[in-house]
Amino acid sequence: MTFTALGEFLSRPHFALWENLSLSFTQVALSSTLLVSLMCGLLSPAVVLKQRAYVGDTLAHLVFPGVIGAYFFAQAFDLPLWASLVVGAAITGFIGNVLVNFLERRLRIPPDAAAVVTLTSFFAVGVVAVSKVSGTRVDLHTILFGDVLTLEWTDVATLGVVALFTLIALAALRHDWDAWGSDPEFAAISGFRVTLVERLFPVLTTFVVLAGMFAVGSLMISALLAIPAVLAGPRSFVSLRTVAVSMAMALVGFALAFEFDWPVGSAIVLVGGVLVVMKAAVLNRRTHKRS
Amino acid sequence: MKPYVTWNGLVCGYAGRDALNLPFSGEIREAGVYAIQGPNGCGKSTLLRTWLGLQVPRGGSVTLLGSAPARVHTISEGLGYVPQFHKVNHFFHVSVGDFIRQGFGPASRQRTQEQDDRIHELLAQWQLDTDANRSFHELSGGQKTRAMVARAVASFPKLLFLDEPLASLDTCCQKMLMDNMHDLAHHRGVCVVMVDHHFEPFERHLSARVAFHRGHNAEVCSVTVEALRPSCCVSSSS
Repeated sequence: MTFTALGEFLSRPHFALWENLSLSFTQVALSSTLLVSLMCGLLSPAVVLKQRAYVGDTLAHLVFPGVIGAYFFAQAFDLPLWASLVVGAAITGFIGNVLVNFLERRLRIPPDAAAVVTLTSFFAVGVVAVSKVSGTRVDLHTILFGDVLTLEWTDVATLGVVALFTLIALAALRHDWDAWGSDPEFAAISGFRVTLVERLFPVLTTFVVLAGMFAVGSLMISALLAIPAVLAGPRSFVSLRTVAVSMAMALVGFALAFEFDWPVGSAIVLVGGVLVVMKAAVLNRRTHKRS
Repeated sequence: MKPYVTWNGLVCGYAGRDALNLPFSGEIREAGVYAIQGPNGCGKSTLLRTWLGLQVPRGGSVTLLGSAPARVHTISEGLGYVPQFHKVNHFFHVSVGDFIRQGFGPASRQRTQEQDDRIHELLAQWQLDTDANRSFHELSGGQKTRAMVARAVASFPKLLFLDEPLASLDTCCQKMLMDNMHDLAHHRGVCVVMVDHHFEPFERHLSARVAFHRGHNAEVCSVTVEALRPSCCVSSSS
């Protein structure tokens, strides 16, 4: 019965995505989704292999009040929106990081506990701020869940610039990323550009989190950063396989979202989540067969 | 010839915490195998990291091969370092061949025949011939230590620092490592500095011993430098 339904579904003459592809808003949404997945796929090995998966989540929450503040600031003084958002996010991201380190050191608590306390507090500030205003593009729902369908071609261009910067920063320093990722102290002694890579990592993560927030939302962006490397198992911090997995996952999720009228971000994360569980099940089965 | 390592009134420790040792001074003048010994938590690895320039001293100064430790290192400085093997990121599955290639520093960006030949030579020397394409993390503790030593000596360093390399090795591999270190020191002119707990079976290989001593009720250790071969090093109290 299930297979018959699947067969009927696949033999349909047109998918919703294909039918709507000529529409400008579909093209914008698809381009944005693919660019965000490209960025996340590029950064995913560093985030997962350096055990910083929680950083994506933390940053997405830390920058929230900065994004809200920057939005109102840009409106009030007629400043460019994206530049204001980046500055606002960078300021709160920096303050949040300092606070995380301060709490960790002074209270002698684990880094994840310090991060959770700080990120929820910062997020609460943002929620309070945004609850006072409604009917703007930056509302709580957009921040939490994102919406690629509200983006415009200028947003696609901005995402393209961030994606290009991320690509260059990773590809040009590939061996430095790998050496730092493997053994930072040895890498420093051997002359790899460890300091540069260590400084670039939070900058790139902030850029990608911020860019992705408007597409898939702050609740989903950390999943998009973590899932591709978990699926691909990269052997380098610059992994084409991980990028391909990330973009394929995004494309399938996007098509499903159009087909069944699901939120795009959730559909992509759902596809990724199911694939991760399937990968674990396959590996588990192989291990049992061997033993 | 410039001394390998010179330190003056050196106090090690982390910023914002208590100092780990009383000030001590000394100089390593000759190639040889130098042991750093002492109880757990007394600051042996911190001394190694301070000499390497990875850690800023709490007091005093250090020179390596006549210069202050660089803030930004280059492979041409001639420093080799073998950290404890658990310092290698165990989620990053790099192949053993690529792991050893990191020992060429930034020069590893351009893969050359010369590098490949050197890697094959090191794999054979450290009995890892069949493991070049395996993930570093599939190796046993002893094999990991050997791969880390092979990586550290790939670029023919003048000064080689090892942090507890013997702990993960069986007796046979410990002997192989110490024989190789002895060979590096006395035939290639490399100064080898090793932190570990037990050098008893290998006393004959050692040129000098830097020992941390924790007295009763003392919060910081005193450090002594005992020369086991004449004129290899000097020490003076500060």
